[in-house]
Amino acid sequence: MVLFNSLTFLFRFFPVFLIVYFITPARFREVVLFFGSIIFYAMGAGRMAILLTALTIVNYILGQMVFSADKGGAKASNKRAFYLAILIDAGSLILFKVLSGLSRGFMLPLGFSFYLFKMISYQADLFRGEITRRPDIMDTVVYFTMFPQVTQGPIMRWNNVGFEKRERTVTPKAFSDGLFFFVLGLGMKVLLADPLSTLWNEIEKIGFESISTPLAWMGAVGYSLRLYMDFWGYSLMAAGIGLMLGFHFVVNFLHPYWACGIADFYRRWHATLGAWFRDYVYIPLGGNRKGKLRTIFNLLVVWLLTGLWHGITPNFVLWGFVLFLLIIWEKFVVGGLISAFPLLGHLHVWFFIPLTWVIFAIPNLKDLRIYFERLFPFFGSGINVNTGDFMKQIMIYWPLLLVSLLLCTPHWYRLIVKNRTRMPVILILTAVFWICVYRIVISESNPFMYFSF
Amino acid sequence: MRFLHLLWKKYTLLCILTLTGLPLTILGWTGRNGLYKDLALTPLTQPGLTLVMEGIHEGIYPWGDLFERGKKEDASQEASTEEGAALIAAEAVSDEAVTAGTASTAGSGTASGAASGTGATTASGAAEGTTAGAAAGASSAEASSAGSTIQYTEAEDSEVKEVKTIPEGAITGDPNTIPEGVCNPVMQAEDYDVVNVAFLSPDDTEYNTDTEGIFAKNGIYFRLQEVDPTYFADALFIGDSRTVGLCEYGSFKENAAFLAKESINVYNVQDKQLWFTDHDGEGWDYTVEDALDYEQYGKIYVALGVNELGIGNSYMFYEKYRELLELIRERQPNALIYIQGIMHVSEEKSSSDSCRNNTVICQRNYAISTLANGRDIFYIDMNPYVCDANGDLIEDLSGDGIHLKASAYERWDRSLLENAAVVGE
Repeated sequence: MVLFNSLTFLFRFFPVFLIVYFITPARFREVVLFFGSIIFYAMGAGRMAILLTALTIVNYILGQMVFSADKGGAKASNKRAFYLAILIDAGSLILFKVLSGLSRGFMLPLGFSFYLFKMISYQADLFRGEITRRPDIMDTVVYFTMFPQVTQGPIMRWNNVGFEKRERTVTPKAFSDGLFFFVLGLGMKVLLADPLSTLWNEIEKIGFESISTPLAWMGAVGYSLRLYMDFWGYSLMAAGIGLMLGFHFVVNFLHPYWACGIADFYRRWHATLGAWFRDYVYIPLGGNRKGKLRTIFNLLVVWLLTGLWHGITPNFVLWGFVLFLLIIWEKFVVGGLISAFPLLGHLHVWFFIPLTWVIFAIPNLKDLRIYFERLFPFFGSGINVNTGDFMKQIMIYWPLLLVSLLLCTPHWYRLIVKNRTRMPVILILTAVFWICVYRIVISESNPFMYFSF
Repeated sequence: MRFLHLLWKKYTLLCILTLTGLPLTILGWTGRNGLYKDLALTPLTQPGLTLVMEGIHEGIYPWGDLFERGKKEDASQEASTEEGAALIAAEAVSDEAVTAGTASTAGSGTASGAASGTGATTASGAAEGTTAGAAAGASSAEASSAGSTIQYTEAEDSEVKEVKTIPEGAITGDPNTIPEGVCNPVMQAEDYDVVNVAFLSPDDTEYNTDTEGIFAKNGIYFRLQEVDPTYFADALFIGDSRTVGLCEYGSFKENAAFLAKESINVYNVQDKQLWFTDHDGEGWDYTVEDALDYEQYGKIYVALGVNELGIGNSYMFYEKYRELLELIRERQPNALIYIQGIMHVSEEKSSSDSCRNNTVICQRNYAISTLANGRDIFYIDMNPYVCDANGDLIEDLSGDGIHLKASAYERWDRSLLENAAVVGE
């Protein structure tokens, strides 16, 4: 089940969990949250829950050794524990990534990239003295395993969620807001992202060599929007659950398609991942304080690692590299122009980002080349292209594309959020919720709903 | 009261969701053994309201109970929704689940009509099926002996497991293996009840070669041969999304008429509005009946079967397919009817799905191939043109493992061009 948008989660796990969580006295709630999270994780990942638990315990123990109560900074023993922790965490991440890349049957454990990044940041924060009080065991295990975040992030940081506050109180307002964001995210995921994903399937079905150029562009835009609705929706659901349980709201997406420039886009897109790379890779490497060449090198490292974090097929490396080039281009060539004419920055985003998502979407480099030849048809011609394909698809997908595009602007989203306690919005959300449930029921009883032949 | 007011004020959304969810749950639970008795529910993982939602999807509305209660006696027999529900209940259940009960409900009427006429001929048909075994699947021919009793055999030990009585004409393949010969475009034919005598060859017609290329029994048949695209000028193609693809990316779109839509299967093809494209390329919504009444065609090609792989079993599929062919024959007495074997799926798809796989496709194809008679109804199979030696759809030809890529429709075109029956030779 493991998905928030499944019947088992919505109607079995989550309600039961909430009831148990809230009838438990506040000071024992973390115990409930820990066991609930392990159950949640085991329901989706089976025996991999043992790995999660083991890594959690190892990181807690090493973290206790890394933590130094002295103001004077880390001693040699702290240092050794820190390096060992990083070796274990980063090592197992790399090992599993490589294994999953080498063999088709080997799957990366669920949420592995996400929770290991949390563990690494935890150790680094302890080592650098950014965590000032010795972490408590319950706080730590809950931080690593908490079910709203364990599978797909956001990569929450120890310090920005008030983890050191032991007794979490949940105000009615926070709870209701949490539910609001959860339903909103659910709607984005189930009513926009999932139906939009069939557009990409349709294009794969036709075969890249046979799509018309307008359809190729529509596919790129559709994929960009679907990815956004999917991931933003999921992040909102996770943040909503967090609010309902007494945590702070974690911002993971801040209207990225409204960004002014590529670099700005990635401050707003999957912000917790970007911030992670900034704080634990870019800045430790020297950031932009060691001259131009060093900055470029640091950016290259960050973006190649970002690519590899998403997957180790060549297209992800290429994706990271292209983003690196675009950011360099923006930073050193057209930077002044963009600050003078912000529209140029927006256009940059709207033109280049969908193209980078195409690289992201197509693992095979040969197919990727074919797709780009269809996007820019002066490089080659298609095979058996039906010029009517664009009209056919746009007639089907325009409502989804339109609603998703509207949600890309901050204005509509803010309007909804601002009026979230008003009756019309509540009624709309109720409808959204039940339509989502309907679609989930149908798709679970017929997993091929999105592939009706 | 004050508490409730406060609750409502502070947790409005939660209250509304609960208040709307509760009645749905109650409806689901109370209807569990009544209205929704044919839908499955796993209470451990699914809420009761799943039934209500699924019911709506199947056309069983919560208020349907009120109307049904009045005519309680025959409610279970006549309602078309019931049939739909029975199909769903049988979903993912393979052939061995054909109980006498479902067989009689699903086949009501149609099976009996055929049974009377074919008794004698089917026996000989089966006999010839085995003699023509080189070209046709010998193992599958043995597995299904026509007659009033079908013996189900398990593949591993070929021990008779169950003997069930189902109406004759019911076809079952071996559930565990891919029958041999299914990739061959030529399948043995059984006599089919609805035959237009106009297609019988003259008495003195002689055929020198034996069964190759011929769907034949009694020496009065057509040879499948190569034709040019003008052959399709009076053809109508009926089918699901694969036929939609043939219309959009095949080379006959200027010649033939098409009647196709995504997600169509033999169970719903007669009820839905499909997209009709006539010979001039103009299109509009049409039902099957509309399209058959629109004009008289020379050839009608049917390609259905991939959407219902998870629904019902081969027998139910066969029966519904036959119903469609009967309708076509009634409205189009002079058309040649082509049953197109279901195109296989890729190895990756086939190995990852318990019902939508090539074994099931082979069983289904075997079933419908027996609807051909070699006189005016032909079974043709495109699989040799698109499959590898294992009978899996070649990966490069498909983007999703189920449909041909636009660039591969040329192979389907070719299979049609090279396997056509020509009248009057």
